[in-house]
Amino acid sequence: MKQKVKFALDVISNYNVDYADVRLRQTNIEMIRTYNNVLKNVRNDDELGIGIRVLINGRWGFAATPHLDEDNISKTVKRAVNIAKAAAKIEQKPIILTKEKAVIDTFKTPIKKNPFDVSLSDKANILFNVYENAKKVKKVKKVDGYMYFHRIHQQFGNTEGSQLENDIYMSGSSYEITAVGDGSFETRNYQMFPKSKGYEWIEEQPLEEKAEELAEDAVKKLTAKKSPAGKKDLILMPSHLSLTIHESVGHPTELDRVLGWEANFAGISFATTEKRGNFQYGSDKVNLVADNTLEEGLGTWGFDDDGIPGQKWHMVKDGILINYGTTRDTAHYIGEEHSLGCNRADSYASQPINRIPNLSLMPGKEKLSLDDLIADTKDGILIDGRGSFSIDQRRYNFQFGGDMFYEIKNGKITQPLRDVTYQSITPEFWNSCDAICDEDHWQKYGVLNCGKGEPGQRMQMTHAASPARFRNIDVGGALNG
Amino acid sequence: MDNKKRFEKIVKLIEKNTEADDYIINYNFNNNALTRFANNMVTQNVDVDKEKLDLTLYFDGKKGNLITADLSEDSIKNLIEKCENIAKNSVKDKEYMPSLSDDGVKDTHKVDKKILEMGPEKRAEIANVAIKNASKENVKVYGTVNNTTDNFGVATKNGLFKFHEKTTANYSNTVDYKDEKGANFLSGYDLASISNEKVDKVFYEALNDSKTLENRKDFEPGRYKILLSAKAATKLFIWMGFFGASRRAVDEGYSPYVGKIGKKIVDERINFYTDPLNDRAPSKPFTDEGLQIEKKYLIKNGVLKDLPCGRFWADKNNYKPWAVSNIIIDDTDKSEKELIKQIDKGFYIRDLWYIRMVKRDDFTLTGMTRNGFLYVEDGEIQSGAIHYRWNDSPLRMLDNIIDIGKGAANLNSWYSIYVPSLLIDNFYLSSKTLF
Repeated sequence: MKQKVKFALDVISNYNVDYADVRLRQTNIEMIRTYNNVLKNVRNDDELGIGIRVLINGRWGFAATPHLDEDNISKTVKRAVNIAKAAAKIEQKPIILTKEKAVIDTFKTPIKKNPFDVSLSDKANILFNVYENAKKVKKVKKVDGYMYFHRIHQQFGNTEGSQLENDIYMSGSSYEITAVGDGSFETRNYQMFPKSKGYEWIEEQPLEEKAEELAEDAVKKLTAKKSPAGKKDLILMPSHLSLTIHESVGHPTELDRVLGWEANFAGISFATTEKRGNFQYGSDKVNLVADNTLEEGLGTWGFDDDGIPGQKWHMVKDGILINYGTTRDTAHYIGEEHSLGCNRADSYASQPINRIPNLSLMPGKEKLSLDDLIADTKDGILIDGRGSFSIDQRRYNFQFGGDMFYEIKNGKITQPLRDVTYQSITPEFWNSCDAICDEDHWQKYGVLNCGKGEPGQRMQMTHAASPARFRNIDVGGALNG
Repeated sequence: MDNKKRFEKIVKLIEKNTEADDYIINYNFNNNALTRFANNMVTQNVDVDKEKLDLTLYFDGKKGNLITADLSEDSIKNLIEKCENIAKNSVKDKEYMPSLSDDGVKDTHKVDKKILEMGPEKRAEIANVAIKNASKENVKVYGTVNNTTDNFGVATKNGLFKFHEKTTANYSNTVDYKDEKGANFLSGYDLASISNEKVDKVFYEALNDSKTLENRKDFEPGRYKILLSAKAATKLFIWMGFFGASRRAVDEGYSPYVGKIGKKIVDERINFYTDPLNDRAPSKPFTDEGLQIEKKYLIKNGVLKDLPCGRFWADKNNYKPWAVSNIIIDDTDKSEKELIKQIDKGFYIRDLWYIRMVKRDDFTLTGMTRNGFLYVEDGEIQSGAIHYRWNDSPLRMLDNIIDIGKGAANLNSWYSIYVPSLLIDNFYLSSKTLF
């Protein structure tokens, strides 16, 4: 593989480019879907190809090919160069890259068991066992099971002398149980929290053991009390908060979005650059830390696709917005001399774009358990797991659902609820955070399908949190109009 | 060698080298070329070829699957061997159906040669129409020019062979006038769909929306009469193509259509169907199994006629298997301007954003208004309006139709879709945002 990257860089040296990089990437994805005790779908997707990005007179050109013979690599380089030159017809400000040191290094996800060495039947049988356990509960009509394994093996080289190799693994599994009642149906999910680990992560999880309990939850939801409408205190579990963090902090702090580069598709951000260092994003209890070195994090790749090593920094410190996720072509817009390493591509065939890093709500500094937090809540709702989610294109107005909901009255969980949604405005929401459980409760949840860009790309990252409380949030508006 | 001949050669190679009881081979070639601009500058410029071969095979009902991007002879022989190993170590597919045989249907294609020949210079020329307009008007423009070519092939052990070629052309822009944004897009299978003249027109429509938003007004949440533009409607009604649209889901009780087949579920003016050969929203005319897709109604004259059904469930229940490939709702000749005249007090929604499921059993969706969101009173656009979150069901919306207008296509989506503008009563705008 290294020789092909070197060959492409040699071909590039025949052209007058300001900068170029070459990524030769092999991707293996295995997806298994079961329906009850039926192997519904199995996909083993092996992809290998080369992506070539050149910068000429401040314009990008990107071309990619799966054909790795020298003739095709040469043609692909030429295609990238021609694309960059064609853009010269458009008068514009040039793309400017931060100056970075060349890096020669390797990174490999530490794994104990290679998921691609485990047989399909072993994997499917876990999901079939989940079904056997779930169907013990009456009214369970179906169980949709899912397993996912992802390996990225990449060689990176650029015209500045960087030579990088990374070998990344991700593993995850989940299932959804559907219970059918009189004229309605409800679901309960094993909340998938994929990690950057090997097959050992599947074996460590209580996938089969939890099935019966979750099936009972699905049945409880059929007859649960409907969501109240009005202001409630919310206790959000890490399985749920991971998505709230993603949508209301992760995306608004992507610098390309702040600059307007996503205005035509994924939207822009209210967290504009003049707010840096002075905007009260959340209460003083709120610390949101980006960390692309996070152990087991799906965004822990060693280096990004600009060749920048993984880093750790505060996005929000004691409630104040202090930084963004940056790339080599965006960092200079906020006066930074170096990128924070957030440029990633989902394939050899995608031009890398500014992505959310691993980004986590840090645990509360004082000792606080979930039981303590519930005991301290008079009139609230506890929300576990991910459900519906939607947010406006400036990332202000959002509405979230969840997977399981419990009413809290006078410090105690009283009963399950159904059809709960809450709606808020991002800074109001984070400023209403008045308690965060301690580090003993801090859990990591991966996001597998973060969609962004044109052409669309999907990316992975992890968000960790401890259970946290948010005061006086609007609940139930979605279905009570 | 053209891609069809290449696929034929691969099929013969697999036929010769596998001992599997049954197999299905899918081939996909995609060229995706896109120029992306923001703040009047090109930020991304790509031209990417992707080619994949997807082999599913069976031994004694046990299923294996492998996909590769390396289509050399050695790689395919390796693919067969690895895929056979996966199948032999797999479990029985309890819903296995023998692969389909030749149905005698001839291949059809939807290709514009000008798209096949389109290069980065042409995309730059089209992008430049908007960027020059933006410079002239002293505004910012963001957008994409995109052309794609797709080839799909399917072949089976039982002698089925189908191949389909198609092209698409898409253009979109968002115009920023004093931090107010208007947007518009163009979509079709040929280059004429994104001509310089059309790009010029949609640039100025987006600019006009952004200028109207400058003096936006604030309204209270509630139920309102709305005109949903045809282009916005393509983003919402796409959901009806896949969510719950399954005969099996109805039979097993987890679909919003439970108990509704054969009954009137929406306004009787609504005809909702799939028709891959329809020029307004052409699509691949067969499934990955090779099942031919023909024109078929889901909803006719407001009555839920039938829902798509997979081969296993159809065989078990004596239904006919069928699938959806694109979505079309019949339109009329009425312009959106004509429909606005029927609004005494309400809103004209020109774009939607971030649509997600809220409640599955009644199909409640949520989303935001985006870009052009205009207040209408006494049949005239009065001003822009502050953006809203909405929560409503497409089924309720189609039942609350006041009038139907001219349609628009969107081929840059999960399915090709063509739907009309819709004048709808009692649409639920549930909360405001800050802009």
